[in-house]
Amino acid sequence: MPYNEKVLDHFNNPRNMGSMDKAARDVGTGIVGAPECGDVMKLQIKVDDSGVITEAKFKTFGCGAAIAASSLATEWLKGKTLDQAGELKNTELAHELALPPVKIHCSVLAEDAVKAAIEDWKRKNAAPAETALATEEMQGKTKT
Amino acid sequence: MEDNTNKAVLTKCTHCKHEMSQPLLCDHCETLNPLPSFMDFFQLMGLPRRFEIDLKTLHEKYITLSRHSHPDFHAEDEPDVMALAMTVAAAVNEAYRTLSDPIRRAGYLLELLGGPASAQDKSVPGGFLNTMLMLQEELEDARVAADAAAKARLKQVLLTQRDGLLKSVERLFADLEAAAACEATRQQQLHEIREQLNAVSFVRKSLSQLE
Amino acid sequence: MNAQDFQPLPPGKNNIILGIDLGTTNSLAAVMTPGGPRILRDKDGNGMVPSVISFGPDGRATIGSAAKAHAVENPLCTVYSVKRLMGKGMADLREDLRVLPYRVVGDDATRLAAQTQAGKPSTTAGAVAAASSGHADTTTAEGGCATEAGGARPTESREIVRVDINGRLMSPQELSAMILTELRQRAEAALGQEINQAVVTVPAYFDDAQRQATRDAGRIAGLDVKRIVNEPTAATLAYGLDQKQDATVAVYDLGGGTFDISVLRIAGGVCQVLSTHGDTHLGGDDLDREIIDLITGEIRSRFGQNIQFPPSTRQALRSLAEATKVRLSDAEQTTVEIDLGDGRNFQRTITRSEFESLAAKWLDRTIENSRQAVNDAGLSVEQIERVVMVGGCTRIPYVRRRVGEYFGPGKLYTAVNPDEVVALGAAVQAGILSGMKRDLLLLDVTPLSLGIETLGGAMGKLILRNTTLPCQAGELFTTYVDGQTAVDIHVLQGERELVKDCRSLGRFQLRGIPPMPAGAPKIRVTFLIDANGILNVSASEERSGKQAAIQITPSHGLTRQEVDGMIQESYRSAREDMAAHQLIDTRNEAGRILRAVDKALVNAGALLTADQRANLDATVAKLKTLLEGSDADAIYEAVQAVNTAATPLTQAQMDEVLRQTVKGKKVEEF
Repeated sequence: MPYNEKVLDHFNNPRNMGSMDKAARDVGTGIVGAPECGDVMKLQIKVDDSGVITEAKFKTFGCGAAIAASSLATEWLKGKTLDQAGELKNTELAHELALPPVKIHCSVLAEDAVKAAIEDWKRKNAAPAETALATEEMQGKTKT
Repeated sequence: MEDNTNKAVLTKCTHCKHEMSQPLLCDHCETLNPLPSFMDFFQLMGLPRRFEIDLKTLHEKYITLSRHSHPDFHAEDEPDVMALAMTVAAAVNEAYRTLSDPIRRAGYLLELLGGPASAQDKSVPGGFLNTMLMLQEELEDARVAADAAAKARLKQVLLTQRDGLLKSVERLFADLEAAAACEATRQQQLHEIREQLNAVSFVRKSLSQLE
Repeated sequence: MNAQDFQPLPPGKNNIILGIDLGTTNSLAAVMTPGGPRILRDKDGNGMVPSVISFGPDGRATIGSAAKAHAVENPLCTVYSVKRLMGKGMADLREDLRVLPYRVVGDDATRLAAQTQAGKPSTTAGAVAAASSGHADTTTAEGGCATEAGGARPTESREIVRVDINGRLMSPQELSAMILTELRQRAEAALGQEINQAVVTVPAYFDDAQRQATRDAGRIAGLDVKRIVNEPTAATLAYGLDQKQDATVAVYDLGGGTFDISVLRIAGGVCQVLSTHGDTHLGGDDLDREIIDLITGEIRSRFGQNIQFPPSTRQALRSLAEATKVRLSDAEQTTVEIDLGDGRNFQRTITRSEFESLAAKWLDRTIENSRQAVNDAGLSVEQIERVVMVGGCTRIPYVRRRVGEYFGPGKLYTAVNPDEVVALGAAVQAGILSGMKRDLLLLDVTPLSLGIETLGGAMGKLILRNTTLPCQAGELFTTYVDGQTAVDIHVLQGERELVKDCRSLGRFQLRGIPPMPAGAPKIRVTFLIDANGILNVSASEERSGKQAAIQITPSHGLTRQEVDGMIQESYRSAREDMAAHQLIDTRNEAGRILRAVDKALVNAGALLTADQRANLDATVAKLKTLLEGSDADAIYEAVQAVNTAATPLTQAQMDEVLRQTVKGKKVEEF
């Protein structure tokens, strides 16, 4: 079987598929895409006052591996602090799902989505002084 | 802006050494010549290296080159000429395939001009992914509800989007070709074209899923 | 039709390239003349040769109408629809084997044949075919050849099928070669010259393995197949010659075993295929089978579920079904009557609308394929101006109605003879290749995407379907361990994402890579699909520029050595046949001369001298002795000796005749 059972499991029974209110202050949203294969991934996190991720949701339009990677990521994120979440590496996802080389980029996309969600939350929840700094930083970046 | 018409790339026939007015078939001895490795698709078709293209002229040139190189017309020749005809005809077909489709032509031209590939530069225009996500969600709802009218409407939205993006690409190439800009501006222009083309990839994927 | 009807080719070009339609049900041959393509017919005006081979108890093969006549009484030894077996493995043929009465075996041929022969004598067609296929229902075959549960394909081993006629195993290629040989011989007789080149048509949807098998069949038949042409494209060539204007056409080709739909643009002497789709497992045979199943089902429910239909009965049912199908094209209903023996009579009136209900699901599939093809061409169905109907089944009113419904009214073009148009087109292509018709450019496409197996069982596409031919793609390969000197590539065709859902073409092994650290070699592999739609692979190591040696193991085909062997085999049996013929002819001649000498001796023996008589007796005695042996040459010489020795006798006989005639009496002629 080319697709690992774990991938199929996430594909058939995805965990945490859905949406949260994007406008809510405690929600961080990351939207990323891979042009070569046309995969689009949205990952959202809800962070409580102590900086711990209490909920995570995803919506992915793409191949089975992309869906599985984002599904697994949301599972993994729950209960982690933002710093811990920022350390999530795509290789861990790829290893856990036993992704073949052609599908590694799906795990990279998931990692990008997590980082984008964290960044979005930080931008919304930074202290006023930090907000100004953060906004300047954002303007220089290429959007993903 | 350099003139990249085929006048600059005359080759000599490998058989009789006469100069050839166009690639492939020698005017003098009618031997089929291999393609010079430095020739790009525009040069092969004898067309200027620009995004804007006359499709009718392109087709005519394609047919002429095909008549020269197609294996059917070399079926009675020596085996090595037949083998050459195969690879040359394959190159001619590839050239036509690439240049006749605006999306493929844009990607090819961008590469020729030294622009980034999608693997190197994944960016898309601001807010585009959000739009794609919403479209995808609507598509999924339409699929689940088997709502043919909604699907048709969404297909139209995607087609309009694709056309809009292509128009941007056309404009960006025209800007690039018009002004002799400094390097920094040029890199920015190439990057923007890549952004538009990346967006087109997403739209195309969604359209193909609609079939 | 005789040689004089064909104007001679320009001097120095004596080679005629034959155009052949090698059909599932019928085959035809045609040639290109300055006046246009012409079907080659026998003295009765028949162009069609049924694609049927019947083997007699002595192993001698009959091909064509005569073989078809044998089908009912000799079902186990009459092979039909062999085109359905070309380029396939046992796992692909599960459905077909259910109904084919002749025995088909897989790679484990010896083992399986031994098993089924040891088992109970099969009296039901079902059991024979099932045993051959290793079908799950059978109890005899365990494991056996390549059918496995779950649909997994044995990609390690090669899957070849063979037909087993009385223990003689023959590949579909050899069987097809017999049909091609028949066509070739008929053509040679009609044209009065040797023919060793041909253009052979195949369904557009045939994959690489099926095309190679067809080319191999040609080689075995002594024909250099200069081009494999897609049937719808060939039909367009023939159609295009009649029509002078530009057009966007679709070709709807429903044959005995295969269905093709192609969309083409004809303009300014260029015939360009825009897209093609089809099903190599859908044809008139399936419509026949619906009728057969209807009849057998009702017979069983009326007369008992345990009624058997032995192979000969199934064959009779097949002919009946075919006739019914044809009848219902003209009549609203028809009645079938079958005598089941023991006073049981089965009678059933089948109406046209009943047949149409049965045929509906098959037609649905063809319309779905058509929709896909129009889509792939980047067109809307309104933009199709004409639909050319090809294949005998397109005569059926229901088929025409469905096609008309989908494509729109007034577009169906039925003026071409649906049975002959493909062969005529093949002849036109032959004309292009031989230089007789240089103004026509034909651009065809590959019907299936081509790719390689990548790590994780995924299919990585290199060339997309509907790409104009010839086309090529390159890919860089490297090694995974230090010092690795060979690299394996598994090539596939198909549209699915996973290897197991695609068609395995074969394994290419690149050898002779200079030993280097893992990942260091850069091997550029070029996949080129030629104008036949057949893959050619070449490879070179980029740094050294060295051409890598390629070893090909086809998944469903014969290796070059095997084909060479079969060519030798066919020469040998042709020689044997010829020698056998010679012996028969010489014997006949000897018998004739002995009888004549006997008669002449009665009439005029008395007129010979003693010496002459003795001489004649000696040569006759020698001939009679030699006739007990089989030395054709010696018999021939002995016949000449008798002839010479009998000269005085014949002379005397003639004198006697003259004398008697003069007398007014009639004497028997020598």
